[in-house]
Amino acid sequence: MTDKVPIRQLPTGVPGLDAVLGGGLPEFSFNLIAGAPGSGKTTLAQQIMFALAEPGRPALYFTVLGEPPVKMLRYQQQFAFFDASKVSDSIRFINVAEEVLKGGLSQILKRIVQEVEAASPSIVVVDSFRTAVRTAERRPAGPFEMEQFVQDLGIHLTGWQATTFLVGEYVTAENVENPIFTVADGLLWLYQSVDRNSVVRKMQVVKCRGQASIPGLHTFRITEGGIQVFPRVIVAAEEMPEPASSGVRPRPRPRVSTGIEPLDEMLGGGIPAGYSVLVAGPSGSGKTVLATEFLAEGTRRGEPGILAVFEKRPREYSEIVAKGKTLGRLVAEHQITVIQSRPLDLSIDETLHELTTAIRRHNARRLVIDSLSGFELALAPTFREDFRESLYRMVAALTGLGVTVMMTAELEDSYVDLRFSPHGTAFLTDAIIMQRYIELQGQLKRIIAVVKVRGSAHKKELRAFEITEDGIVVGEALGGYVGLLTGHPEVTKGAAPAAHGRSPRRRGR
Amino acid sequence: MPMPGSADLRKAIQRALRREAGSDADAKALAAAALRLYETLAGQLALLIGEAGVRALTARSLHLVQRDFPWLAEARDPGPSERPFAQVGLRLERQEPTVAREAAAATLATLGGLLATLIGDALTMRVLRAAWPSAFPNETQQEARNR
Repeated sequence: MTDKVPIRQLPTGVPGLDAVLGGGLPEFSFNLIAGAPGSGKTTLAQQIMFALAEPGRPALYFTVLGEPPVKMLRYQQQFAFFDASKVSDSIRFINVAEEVLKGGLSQILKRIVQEVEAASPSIVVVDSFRTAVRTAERRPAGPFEMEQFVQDLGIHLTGWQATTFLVGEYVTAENVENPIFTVADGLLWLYQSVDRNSVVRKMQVVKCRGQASIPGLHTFRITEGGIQVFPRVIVAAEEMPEPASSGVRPRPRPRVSTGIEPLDEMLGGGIPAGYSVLVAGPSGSGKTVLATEFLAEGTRRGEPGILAVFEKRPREYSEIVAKGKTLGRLVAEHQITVIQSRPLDLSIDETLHELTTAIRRHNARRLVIDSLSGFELALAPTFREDFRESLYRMVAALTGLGVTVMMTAELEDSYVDLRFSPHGTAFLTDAIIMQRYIELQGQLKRIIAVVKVRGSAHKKELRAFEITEDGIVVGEALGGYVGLLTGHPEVTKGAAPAAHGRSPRRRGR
Repeated sequence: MPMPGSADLRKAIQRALRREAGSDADAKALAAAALRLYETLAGQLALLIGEAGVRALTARSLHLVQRDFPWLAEARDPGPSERPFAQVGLRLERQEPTVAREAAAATLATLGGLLATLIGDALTMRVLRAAWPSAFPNETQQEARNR
């Protein structure tokens, strides 16, 4: 038995917000929703109110000065959550402009208390609280009147078992001595982050008494449905790769076939399940084809896949043939789901939310992100700055779901250095497959190599491959040459160059 | 419940006026009934959009309804301490009962229509039904049954 008072957590009706708050909205809490004009404060307050209000325990929405109530009603009802049938029975809008203008803080408090005692509401919103205070402050007031008002309001509304939201236009770090910041149990700060031409909405739970909220800035989007929050993903300890020095021998993982038998051999028996694989190569080298075969092989084995497209349009993908079927057909058969990005203003967490939702809905075991370069471009500029850190969190979260993730990355062919990703992100992935162009005997050839498979032996050889109507056909190892990656290959002395190009060792099952 | 068209809304308000003032009411009784209907609606509306909002919509409605009833023009600008609809009552009292009934219904219907253009049919109908249950007896009963 525990003596602790149980705090009921109310579902806010705002997708993602309950998780950010640490499970929901603490019942009877006294909260401040703060932010600059246009940051979404009223929308957030109303969305929560419409979700929680019911006839027995209505919500009171006190409108003060600021946005005229008639305009607020006009615009807010455009959101799907605005249910006009709840107005008057479950939700009452009460305008207290007169009290603010004529009576000051004591008159506002008196009116709010009077209405609260009459209606016994479950939810109370004062919008905008800041305007009420600012207007009242212009009147002569005794010392600590403001402190007294906030204190009384908090005590009264909590005493009447109301969960309260004060909505206020506050700018970050402004006047931290304001008593409202001290009295409030919960403090939600909304921002509009501007970077070049892009605007990204972010939210922070500055405090949430009694429960552990997720720290950091969480992106959110306002659509016709209202606000949707994308909780910032924190990588759990078990999702982080085991440090090499830990001495813990990782358990062998089952292997996932790429659908290309020789490549599976090069990988030491396929990709370890739940690994992230980077396929790096220049434009046209066959990265998308390889990734599509990986997904198609999954469907052959009853493993649904997700294709997240940040490059070509899905229509172009639908014509790619893998395992004898076009990708379009696999999509039509619901074996592969294509997610197309909303370009240029994405956040990593929104992308991750979309991917994890699709993975769970389709019970997907394989995921392809094509490509990292396109993904980076689709992000709002503010997120490109810490792309590596964000990608690290995303990859860890996705592989933490047990999904095998294949990401493509475009690289310019270089014969003076050996790089595997333009972002310095190669170290984030568990395995790397490299594709390159080389010139051999006067012909342009594609070669493939496995650069790394974490915790596993793999072949180090370079093999030529071709893209045919049947897909990728991998040839023999290019023995007998040195300097293949330098652009100046030479035949090794005394060795006969191996056959390359189309080889008798074809993939195929 | 959908928002009735302008003509139907006028009929519904005339029904409420009859209920308030009686079928054979003179212009004075009709003016008093119209004022009561207005005050009830204004009370509901003030909760929603504030006193200032009610004043603004009332003034706009009177401006719009003047096209059909030009003699209402004088009622358009009440003094700051005056109730917005007080002058309307005085003007109605001077008309024939039939004209007074039509003008009162038209004025209140215009206010309802204006409200609907600003905050939508659904919300407007909730306010009108709450203020004037006698204007929408069937719907009000139906709603009570649904609860």
